[in-house]
Amino acid sequence: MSQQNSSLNNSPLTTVSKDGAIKRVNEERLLTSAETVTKMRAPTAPLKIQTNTLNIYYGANHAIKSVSMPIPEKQVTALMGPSGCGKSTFLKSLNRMLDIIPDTHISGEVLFDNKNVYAHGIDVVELRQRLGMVFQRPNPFPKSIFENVAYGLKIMGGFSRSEIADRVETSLRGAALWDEVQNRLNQSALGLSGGQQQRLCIARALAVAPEVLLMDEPASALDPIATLKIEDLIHELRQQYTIVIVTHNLQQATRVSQYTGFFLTGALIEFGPTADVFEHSLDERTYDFIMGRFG
Amino acid sequence: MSKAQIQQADSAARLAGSGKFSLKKLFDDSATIYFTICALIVIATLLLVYVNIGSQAYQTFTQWHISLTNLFTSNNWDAVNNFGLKANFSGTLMLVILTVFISAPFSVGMAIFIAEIAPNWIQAPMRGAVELFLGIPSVIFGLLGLIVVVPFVRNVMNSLAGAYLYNGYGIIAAIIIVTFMVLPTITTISIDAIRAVPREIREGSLALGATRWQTIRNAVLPAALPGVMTGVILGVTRALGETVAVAFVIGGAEQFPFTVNATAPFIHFSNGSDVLTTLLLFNFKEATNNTPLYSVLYTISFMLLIISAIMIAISRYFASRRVYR
Repeated sequence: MSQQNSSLNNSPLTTVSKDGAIKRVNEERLLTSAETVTKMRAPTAPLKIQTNTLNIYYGANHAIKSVSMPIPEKQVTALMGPSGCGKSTFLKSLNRMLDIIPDTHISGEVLFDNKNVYAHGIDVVELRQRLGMVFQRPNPFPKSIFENVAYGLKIMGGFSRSEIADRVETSLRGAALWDEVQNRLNQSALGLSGGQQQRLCIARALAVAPEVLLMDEPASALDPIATLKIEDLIHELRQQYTIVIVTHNLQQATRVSQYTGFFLTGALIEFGPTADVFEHSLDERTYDFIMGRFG
Repeated sequence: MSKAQIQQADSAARLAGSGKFSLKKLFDDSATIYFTICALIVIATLLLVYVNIGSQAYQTFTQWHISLTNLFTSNNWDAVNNFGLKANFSGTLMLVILTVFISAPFSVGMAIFIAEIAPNWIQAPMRGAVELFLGIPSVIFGLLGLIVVVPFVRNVMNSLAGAYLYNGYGIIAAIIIVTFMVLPTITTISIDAIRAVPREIREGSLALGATRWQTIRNAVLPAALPGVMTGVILGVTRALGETVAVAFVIGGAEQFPFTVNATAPFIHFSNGSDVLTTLLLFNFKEATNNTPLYSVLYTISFMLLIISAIMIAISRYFASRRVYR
């Protein structure tokens, strides 16, 4: 929270209202969670995930404030907002990656196929296999390309060598990396370029046959060409997977997503079809953010 | 600035300040000289050690006509005419291999506990304890060996044998003592290697549905392995060179650490043996200049030098393969 406050306080927050007058954005209004009611244009597609009044605390820091958000199946849902607004935290709560951070408290529910992932008796291991994750920085293991993709399968166990080899090839093809690496599967994954490493991480996630892909700013550490490849890949993956992507980049959100949620200081301000959110914002703060007034 | 420009500026400055005494320049120059001398001293010492010991060792072969095969294959040692090192060499080999094989799993396990499993408030004191352990002088290990380990080995082995056959001195006591000495060396280096593995690697593994143990075994440890191996090799070096503590418990006798033609069940362990380092220690005070013994002891020293140099080279190799620092 303190981090968010300082980053917001240090930036001069001015806005041009629709009639052209320049005014200072009411910082108080940005920071308080008085208006945590989401301006919601509910999706028509069937839902894969639904959070209900999800609250997350890091110690005393209220990082996610009563977020109720639908995530439609086999669509790309973008989470956008300024740094520190909680979008990554929200993403990590979906596959319970927050469990490994000490002093984290969560209330509310995350329904995944209508089952609360925080309910008693949920198998976190199985859950994380169904919700694959791709991180901000490519994080391949210091192993061969093949071993990286086979990692999840070997963890799960019960696959024959030929099954593993098949799944590795399918996953690498699925991540549009096969053609570039098929002749050097046994070489270290660390020898790949940043963009290739990130696609390898996507392949690694695909290998365990997830239903959802959670991507935390997957292209933020990549150059424009590698970014474009990742975005093309996301378009293809949408046919089979439900994708939730955190992005800092507004253009990227419009390019890859069908739905967009706008977060501000831990609250979900607005949610709806991406085109609607961008062209007809229901909330002034969304409009200001899209216009580049802050963040 | 190019080199030419620097030189130009330099000479211009010298012209401008010629004849003037500059305290700043004096400090600057003397610092350079000081550091150069320091570096030279280290290199010169190293050269001197190798040349001195090497040349003395060489006389074994030129002046006394003792062959290398003779040293390694004979087991006959009388310190006058016969210099068979086979028993001592196998003793050293056994000591090094067994201590490292026993202590490495414990050390790595301890390192995993400290770096991965223990909560933060335990971690710092545990690391402090391990470092304290590392700093215990070897003579203290020797004393403890004499007071605790030798009687322990004596009791256990005699009760196993069912008769009073053993005095407790020998390779087993040495292995136990050196295992404890090698433990903190491997542990501290392994802790650093494990902690250097970035959080993203653990997250990547957990996000694929791995449990914490699977993550440690399949992602963290392989990533830390070159660093852990550096620690193991340094452990080997320590076990190889350890003299004082071993001297307390080894018994000092020129016989094989064990024989298989058993008077006791399975293996008969000797009451006292010697490893290369203790052989050196026990014999040097009796060696006079210009005798074969003198040269042979130098040969042993040179062997130890070469082996440790090889070990350092291996550890450098592993260090160069470290991905995370």
